[in-house]
Amino acid sequence: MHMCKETRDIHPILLLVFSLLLFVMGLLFVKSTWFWMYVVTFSVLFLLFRFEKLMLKLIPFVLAFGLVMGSLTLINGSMQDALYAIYRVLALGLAGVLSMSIRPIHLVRALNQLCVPRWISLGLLIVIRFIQIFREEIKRIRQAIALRGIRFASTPALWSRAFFIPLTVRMLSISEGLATSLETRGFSTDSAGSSFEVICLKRRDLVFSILFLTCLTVFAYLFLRGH
Amino acid sequence: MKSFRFQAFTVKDIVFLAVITAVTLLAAGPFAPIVMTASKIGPQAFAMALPFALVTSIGLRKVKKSGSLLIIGIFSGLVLLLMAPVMFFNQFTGSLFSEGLALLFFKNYENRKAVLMSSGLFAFFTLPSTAVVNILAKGKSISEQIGNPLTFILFALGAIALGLIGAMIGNKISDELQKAGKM
Repeated sequence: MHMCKETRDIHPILLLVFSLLLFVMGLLFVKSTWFWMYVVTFSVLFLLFRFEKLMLKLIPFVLAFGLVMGSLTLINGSMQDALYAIYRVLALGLAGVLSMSIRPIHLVRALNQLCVPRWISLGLLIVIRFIQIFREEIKRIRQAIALRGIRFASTPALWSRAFFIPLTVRMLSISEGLATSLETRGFSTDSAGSSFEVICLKRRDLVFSILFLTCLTVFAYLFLRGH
Repeated sequence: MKSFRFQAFTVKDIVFLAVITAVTLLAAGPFAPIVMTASKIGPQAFAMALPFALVTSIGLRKVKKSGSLLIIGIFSGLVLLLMAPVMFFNQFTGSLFSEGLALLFFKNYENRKAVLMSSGLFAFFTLPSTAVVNILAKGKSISEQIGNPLTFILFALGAIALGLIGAMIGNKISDELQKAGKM
């Protein structure tokens, strides 16, 4: 039986759409004098909905990236341009809080419920999962190369050969194994799948959506009025 | 006979293309700071050309079906959508244009030159969408984005050259693996 679990997570599709809205609108509002209010308002909203851990994780990135962007802009531009560059990074950071809080498996389940073709949801899940697996693989291959005393600086052709051939062989064997395992479980790209968990809209999603859209509408109104 | 044909993708194809996408994103990872800090158009495509072309050409040599590069573009775009929403359009249009052009000339991927052209021009074809997105989202004019025209032309030509070099290396790796019976 499908269960609609009561969790603290906001619906993944809502998070994805709101993240896009927040980023695009943020870029539009960058030159407005009240941009800092835009950042503060949505930061407070995110804190209310318990995104604080992700916000803390993103703060160092936003600070470092903001400073780099600001400094680079300052080379050719004015202080004002540098400030706008930092504001753009803040807009990216705000959107990142929402999009990075999405659990891949929840997104895939929600996409399946929306009747998105299964090859897209399957592919997306594989890419997200396998980035970490291949990071480990790459580390192992590089360690093996170092053990054999091959250095990129002295023999770049040999190093590249020793790196890319084992990596490609691993890609082939991993994808072969995964495809066989999926096929033996009856997975096909044209059949409808089932899910252990239904991602449904909860009261929390509704409250978040209302507050989010209200705030966004207020800022859009200010922008259109030319404030 | 050369003809355009569309073949359905099997689970095996989708899984391999997804794995190729994961490796492409990892290979391009070290160049991400350049992409994120560049204020002018061109350095992004230049930095991404080699890793993107190298890995995607291996994917196209294995899955020689029309639409393979577009699938890689959709997968990488969807993952990047979670980090920077504009990147989705970048990846999607880049793969669409380069694959479209390669298939227009060569009809299918049986010809090695089609793989070379499709994956080699992927990064270069992200330039138009980057320009359009910058105009729409940041209000930057084309001349503002280009800056010095000579530098821009050098970056664009560099993106094509590095892309083609990457695709050639990818083809060479695929040849070796084919000889060894791994592909």
